[in-house]
Amino acid sequence: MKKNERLMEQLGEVDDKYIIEAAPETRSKKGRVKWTIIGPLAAAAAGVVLWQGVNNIPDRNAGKKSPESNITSEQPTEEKKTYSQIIEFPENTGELPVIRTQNGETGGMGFEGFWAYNVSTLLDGNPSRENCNFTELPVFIEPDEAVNIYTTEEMTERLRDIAGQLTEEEFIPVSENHYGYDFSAQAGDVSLFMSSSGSIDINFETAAELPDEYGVYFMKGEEQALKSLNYLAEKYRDIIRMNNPTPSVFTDYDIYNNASSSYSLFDNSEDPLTALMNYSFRNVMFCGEEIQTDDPDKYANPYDAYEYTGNLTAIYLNDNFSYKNFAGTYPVISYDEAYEKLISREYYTTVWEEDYLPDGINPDEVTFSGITYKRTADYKYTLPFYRFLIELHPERNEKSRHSEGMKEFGAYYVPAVSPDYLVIENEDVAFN
Amino acid sequence: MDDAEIIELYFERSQSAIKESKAKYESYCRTISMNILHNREDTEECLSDTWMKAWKNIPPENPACLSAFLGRIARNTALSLWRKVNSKKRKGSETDVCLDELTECISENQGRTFTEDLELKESLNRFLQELDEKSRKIFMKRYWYVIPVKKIANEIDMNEGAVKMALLRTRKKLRQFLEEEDIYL
Repeated sequence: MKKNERLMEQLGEVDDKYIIEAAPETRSKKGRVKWTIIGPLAAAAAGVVLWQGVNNIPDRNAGKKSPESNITSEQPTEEKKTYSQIIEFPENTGELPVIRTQNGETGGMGFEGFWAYNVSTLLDGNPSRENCNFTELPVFIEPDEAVNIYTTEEMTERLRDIAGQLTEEEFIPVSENHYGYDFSAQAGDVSLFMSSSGSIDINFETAAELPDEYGVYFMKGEEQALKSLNYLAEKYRDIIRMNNPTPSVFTDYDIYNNASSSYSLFDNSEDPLTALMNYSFRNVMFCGEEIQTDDPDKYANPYDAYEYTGNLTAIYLNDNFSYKNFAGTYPVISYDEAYEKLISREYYTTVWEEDYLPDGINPDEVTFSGITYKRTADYKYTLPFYRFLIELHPERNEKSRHSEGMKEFGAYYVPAVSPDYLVIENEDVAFN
Repeated sequence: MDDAEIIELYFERSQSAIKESKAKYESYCRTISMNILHNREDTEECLSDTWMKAWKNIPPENPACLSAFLGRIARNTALSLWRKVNSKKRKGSETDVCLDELTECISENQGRTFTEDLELKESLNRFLQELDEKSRKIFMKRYWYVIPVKKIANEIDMNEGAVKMALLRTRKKLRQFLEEEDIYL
């Protein structure tokens, strides 16, 4: 380690009081309810894999016509733009190299467990759940050089196009301090940020009001949320640029028995690989306005201190895919093989099994949630895994906060890449 | 939920510990990570690792200050990830610039004994204690939180030039302090 890096590192270990004293103003999510992906989709979306604008910039790739959208709309139909969709990977050239990687700490979610009355609410529409007959799947690798999918000119035009759909105010590129993004701009009270990988954040300083029957709420139930998601998908169709925007819905519960729901959109496809790639690496999230009305510490349930207005404060277009990160199409084991490995305890999990699964796996309590892409511990590869949810039976004497019928589930992963091509070191450490 | 209650959830091995930590400190940890990594995808990866490390370390750790504990994990994780990304991504980044600036605080060893981490940390604590509050805040905002100079100026209501001068003076003081304490990296 270089000396300056060591100094920087050791500066991190100074007393707490100096850290707290200098705490910065944060771009706080207070004032925003984020319809956000948590659980498996977040783990997948956190991969470094970047998207080469199959959908974002017209003219980059010619595509086939997409299936009809399964989003219905009450708005009058008119000729709609379609956006390129089908994902195709180049043929492997030469012999496929064996993937050698490490397990251990990686982009996981801590103890990946969930509370729910029914496991079905934890299944977020992963398209590979219904269509899982892959014999091979792409693997992605962190490139040696920075991957810039979009030039500054292209980012400027993309954000200018978005701004033009939202406001008549002048589009003003920001010259510096893009808060970690590669390009940003302002148009009236709309702030736009874009990374060269293709991800875009659109923030409304004045929250956008929705018609009365719709709203971006945190806990008003799935029916209302799906109706609103439909509305937003149509209203912002030419911003999100999806041919077949499909809701991904996930609901679990917190210790106060409150449903915590996540809603997002991904671009579904009749092509199973395209659908899986879109689900895994691209999605759209909407943020709602949340107003703090009281001090949360006063309440046993802190959410009682917040009020949700239903107005829209931000749109996040997440785009984490790039052909430049493509390492090859690798043979994968079948679902049946993966299931057998799971039952034989050849899996990776963060669940503390001594406490939560003392009697081992009951096959009747196993649910397949789909193929999920996760980054390896050394941050080098993003690999596909078969993901299973298993009902847990904690032995510990827990203070019961939950109502009757609440169950607990843990996530388990079986590597999809054939063992002929995958070597994972440190086998005794849980692969997160 | 107050910090003591959140920590109790960790000790109970309740998965709500992570959710409550996120609810209270995700914005804070995200800011720390983003300042270092400048990349949203890497930042999300870093945050995921932060919650996992917190889960693994509490217990036996029982942090007196949960925000500092989580912030420290986020910072260390972000720096570790930053070092792993390719060199072209690192060059010219705010983190890279901070490291260049810190180089000014380092004297040549000239054959002196290498200082262990604990001694270095304690020396840095003594140095920070001796600084006036404003200089210390500016220094920590710059080199702990990796905040751009312009943003520091906005936060503490000074002009940019004054912040740069304050940092320059503090770096010189640190160099002198480490030499006087016979601390060598």
